[in-house]
Amino acid sequence: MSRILLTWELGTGFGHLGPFLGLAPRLLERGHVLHVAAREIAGAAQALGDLPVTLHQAPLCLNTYGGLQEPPLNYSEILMRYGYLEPPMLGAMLAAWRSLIRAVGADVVIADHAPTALLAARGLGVARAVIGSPFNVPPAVDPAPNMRPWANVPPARLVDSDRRVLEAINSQLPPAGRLGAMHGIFDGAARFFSGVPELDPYGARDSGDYLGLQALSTGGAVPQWPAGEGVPLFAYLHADYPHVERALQVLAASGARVLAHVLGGTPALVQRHAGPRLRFAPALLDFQRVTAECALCVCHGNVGTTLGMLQGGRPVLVLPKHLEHFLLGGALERIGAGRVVHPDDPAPDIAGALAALLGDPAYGRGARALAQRHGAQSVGTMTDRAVARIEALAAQGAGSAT
Amino acid sequence: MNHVLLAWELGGGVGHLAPLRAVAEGLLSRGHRVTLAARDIGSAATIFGGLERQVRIVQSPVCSRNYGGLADPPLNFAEILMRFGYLDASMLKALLQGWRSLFELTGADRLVADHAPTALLAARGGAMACSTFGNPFAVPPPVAPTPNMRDWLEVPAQRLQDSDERVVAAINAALAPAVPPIASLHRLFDGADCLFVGVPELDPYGPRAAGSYLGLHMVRSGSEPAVWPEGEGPRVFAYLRMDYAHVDTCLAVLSAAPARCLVNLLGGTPQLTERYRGPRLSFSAGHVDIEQALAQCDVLVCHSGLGTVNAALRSGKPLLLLPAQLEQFLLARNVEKLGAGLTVHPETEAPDIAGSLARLLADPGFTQQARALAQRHGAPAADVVARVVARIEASVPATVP
Repeated sequence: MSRILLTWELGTGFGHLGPFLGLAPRLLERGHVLHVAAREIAGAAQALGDLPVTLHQAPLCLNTYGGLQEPPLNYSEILMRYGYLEPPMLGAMLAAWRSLIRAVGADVVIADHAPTALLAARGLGVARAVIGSPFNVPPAVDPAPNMRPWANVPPARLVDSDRRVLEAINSQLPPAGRLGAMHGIFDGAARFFSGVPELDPYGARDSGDYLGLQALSTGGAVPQWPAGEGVPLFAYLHADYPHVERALQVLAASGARVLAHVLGGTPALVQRHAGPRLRFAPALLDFQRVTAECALCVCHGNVGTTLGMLQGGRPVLVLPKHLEHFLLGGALERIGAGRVVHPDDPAPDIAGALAALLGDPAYGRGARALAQRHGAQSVGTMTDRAVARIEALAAQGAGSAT
Repeated sequence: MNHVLLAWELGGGVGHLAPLRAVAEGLLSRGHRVTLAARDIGSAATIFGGLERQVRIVQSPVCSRNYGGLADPPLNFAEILMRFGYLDASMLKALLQGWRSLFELTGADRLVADHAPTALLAARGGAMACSTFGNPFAVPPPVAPTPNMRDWLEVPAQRLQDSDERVVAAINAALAPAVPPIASLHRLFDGADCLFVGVPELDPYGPRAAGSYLGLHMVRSGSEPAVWPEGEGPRVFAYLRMDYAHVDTCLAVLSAAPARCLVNLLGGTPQLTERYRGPRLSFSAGHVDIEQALAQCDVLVCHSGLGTVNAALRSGKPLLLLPAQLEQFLLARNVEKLGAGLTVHPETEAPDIAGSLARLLADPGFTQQARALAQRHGAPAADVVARVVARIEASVPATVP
């Protein structure tokens, strides 16, 4: 039996616990004790449901920092927004994480976007791993790469940002434990990236680091597609997406039979757009069935939906709200399994992108090819392999101190 | 030996932390273990600096959602809680889970809640002995519904009752089945020993049982010596925040006043300090030793934070109060009622700061009232802390009906 602490420190939304939730039932079955320290404790409680997991509040930086250059370009510039330029704040977070890791008696700390938890575990000599989107783990290069390649950035800015963050980190570590580079945060951590190497925004890393195309298992409602001609299209959108009205208009006029789930959608929004070619799902749908029955998907590029669709060999049109999802969409375009619009475009050509997807069977072939390449290993096998790796890590105990 | 969990869940800033540090030091000196659960662990680490080896600082569970559509401004205790998850049973349940995990991990046998209602709820029916500590504003009196705190507003009684009922329903939905539900909101504090900073005359809810008050409490704060501008005239110490709406007006008044002014400006920019610095007004470089500044000044100008007001009155000094928040305004109003100071209403667009300051400087009656209060309630700081520690030691787990 091992004690496993999953940590979620940065970023919002349910997506964060997804990959861990895929492993949790198997870990519990094998007799391990699970703790989750979450940034959003209510979101975590909801995602965990009835699983016998002890829930904790993750240490937080409540300060906001003015005067930083917008938008953040590399990983260091994300960290700057969460106390990584203010040594006392960072010191307080490290101390709080250390207290929690010790009190839980964690044998292994698994970080889903939780750099400070990783640093604290490293200092305590506790085995550690990262899980979740590869976007949250920059590669071991100096400086940490620009995540917005279309923005023209003087390399000196990235170098400088890394240097400032590294200085703050090292000011809070004992001399023997100091990092040589910002990416040292992740040194010695096992990797469990959601997705497959082709979709990694930083480029493919060791193929053993990926959890594969995991399907979602949410919802239970049976999909009811609009009747008539045209391919079945599943849309999963958020009501607060700036172009949600335009997206729904385009969908209704696309010629496809559209079944849409709009998170946070008001009755007025449904009223405006519902019609013979566009139906709104009243409840969370049986995702596996939706995947099996649809021809393609339109979503914001959230990892769960996108990977699930790809596992079913369905191409995806990504309408990203965040950089991370734009990068995932870009990777889909590169492998010919989908399209993406630019999040900063004030009037994105959603109609054009959708028409391309509907009109060219190559996208379907691209998605099916990806599913076939990665379908050889079942999700169960991937889960078992990940669980075995976590058990090995936990058994290694204090041996990982650096 | 006890293990005491000091819990700060709601409300901003250093006001909570400095008094908690004094309590922590008192507990440590008696051989107890202390853990601090803080809303803002960054400020907590700063204020508790030097105690790293003795006091563990952990993160209090925090409500991460914003709730729209609530009637503004909040009128009673229930309506404050609504803004922190108390209409959202799923949020509240998760926060309770977070607190219970924390109780288990620390193994604490004493809980001292400073504006920490969810910590108290999580302890309900358990084995921990509970106290509340801090501003009486955070503990409504045992009446239902919890009273309107803005008595200048016309409020239908039904609204207060509805608000209490909605919050009580969410609480009872979130409590574990084994925990007895609460019948009314103030029952949240059942069995907790109340330790209020201050005196009955300053309680925003009106005087309660005398044993609940700790007296005019002075907390050590700041270390920079108070250096006054040279020359003649009374000494005015101003303890101000840069984000106060009328900070410019206030500094202009001070610079023109027939007094020597020392200003401790939190968050001040060089542009602002340059504009008002002069032979009769100086700015401190860092945090001034409040105790020394108060001993030497004739009038204190501040935003009516609980700690500063207590310290000033304990030194028998009259106050010009510039509150920015409700709890500060309610305290300021009580100081004014006592005749120990004057208050500028937070919603006044063109406040007469000059007129109020002139009255305070001209009329010795304000100082007399402040001194009279100090004589009634002044006690050595060490005694206050010792009393808090003794009460925490003596606290016992509540038997919840």
